[in-house]
Amino acid sequence: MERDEAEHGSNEQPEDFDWAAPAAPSYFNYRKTTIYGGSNEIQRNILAKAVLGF
Amino acid sequence: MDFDLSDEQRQLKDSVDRLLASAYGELTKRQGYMKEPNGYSAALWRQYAELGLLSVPFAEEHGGLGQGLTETMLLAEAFGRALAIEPYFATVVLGGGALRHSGNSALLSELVPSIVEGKLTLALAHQEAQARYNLADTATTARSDGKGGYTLEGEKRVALHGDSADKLIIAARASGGRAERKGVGLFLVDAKANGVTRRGYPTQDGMRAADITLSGVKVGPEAVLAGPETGLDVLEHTIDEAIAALAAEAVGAMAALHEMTVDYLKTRKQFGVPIGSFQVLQHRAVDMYASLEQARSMAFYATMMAGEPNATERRKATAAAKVQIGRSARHVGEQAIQLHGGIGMTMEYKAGHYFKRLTMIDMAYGDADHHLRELAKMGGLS
Repeated sequence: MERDEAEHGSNEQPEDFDWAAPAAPSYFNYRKTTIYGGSNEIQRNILAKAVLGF
Repeated sequence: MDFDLSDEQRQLKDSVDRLLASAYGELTKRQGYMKEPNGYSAALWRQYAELGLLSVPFAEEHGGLGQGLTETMLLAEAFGRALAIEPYFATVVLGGGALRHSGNSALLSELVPSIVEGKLTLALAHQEAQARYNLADTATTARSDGKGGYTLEGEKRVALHGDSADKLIIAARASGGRAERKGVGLFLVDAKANGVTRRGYPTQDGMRAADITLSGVKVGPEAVLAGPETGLDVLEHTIDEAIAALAAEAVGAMAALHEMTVDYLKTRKQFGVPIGSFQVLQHRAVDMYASLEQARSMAFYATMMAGEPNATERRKATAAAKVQIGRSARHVGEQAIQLHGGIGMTMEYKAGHYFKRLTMIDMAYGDADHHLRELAKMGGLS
């Protein structure tokens, strides 16, 4: 990516920047993995009991 | 990958754990050792020698046990758990590492037997005030006498256990600009040699260090540990191994700190119940556990890569490990104190002392931010 395009307010089309287009959709999509198989908080409850003996 | 210990490794771990559990059981014992003349327990140092701990990494031909970095990792983890203050790291890991990597067999044959017996301690004095974390940055000069000997001039900072060490290993520049890679040699100097002045002081973590002034210190050809062509390579490899050992020590300290925090949560009562029954505190203890385990994995990685001959690959692994160790150490340390409440801050309780040691480990040889930059410069882990 050229420096000009990175500047705030630039209307230039980004070039050679193929990985950027799917980055945001991919990020939003993978939010779901923090819920898979029990949310992160449920995993913490499991560890608290199974490993730390609370 | 096989992470199981061999029978010999398990025996080594058990014997050192047993020794340290009794020697460092109560915090008052550690405080007693700190008041001894050398700032550590002379009796315990002899016991390390008797158990063979001081001979672990040296080759058998020089009087060592010829063992690998895994054994050093096991010992370092035990020292971290106990918060031991004897100069194992300074003498065997740093000093011994520089000796081993120099490949100087005359000096190895001469010095290793005394190290192994606990009669010779070493300090590595490579750091300087202006150098930050750049190992090449060396303003101390080594002027050749044309007959293989040198004269050293300059100032060294924070040489670990430098105030009590019998011999010092000094990094000094024989040629080139201040931060140039080429031209740095390592020189063995008797701590009582003419022209050597040492100013010792306690460090935050209960250990000792010294600033060292060298003024016209003569070094004969036989005391040139590594010449200006190879000195920096030797120093870098030594420091990479040292970081692997520190990573293991940090894991030991974090594991102990985590255990004592979980125990405290189960014991301390508020509102008529143990505070560990509160979910929000359980989750914090679990996050500490996750930090600890990430650090443990990276400590293994650093140890496995510390013998890697390709210096760039080795340095990448070392840097990555140091980043995780630094981050985990700060997280586990801060949370441990927060979860303990006021008692975590007192001098009479071990938690704060673990946090001090962990903070010093993060700062040693480059903190997490420094190593993240270094890793990025090298292109990251592939």
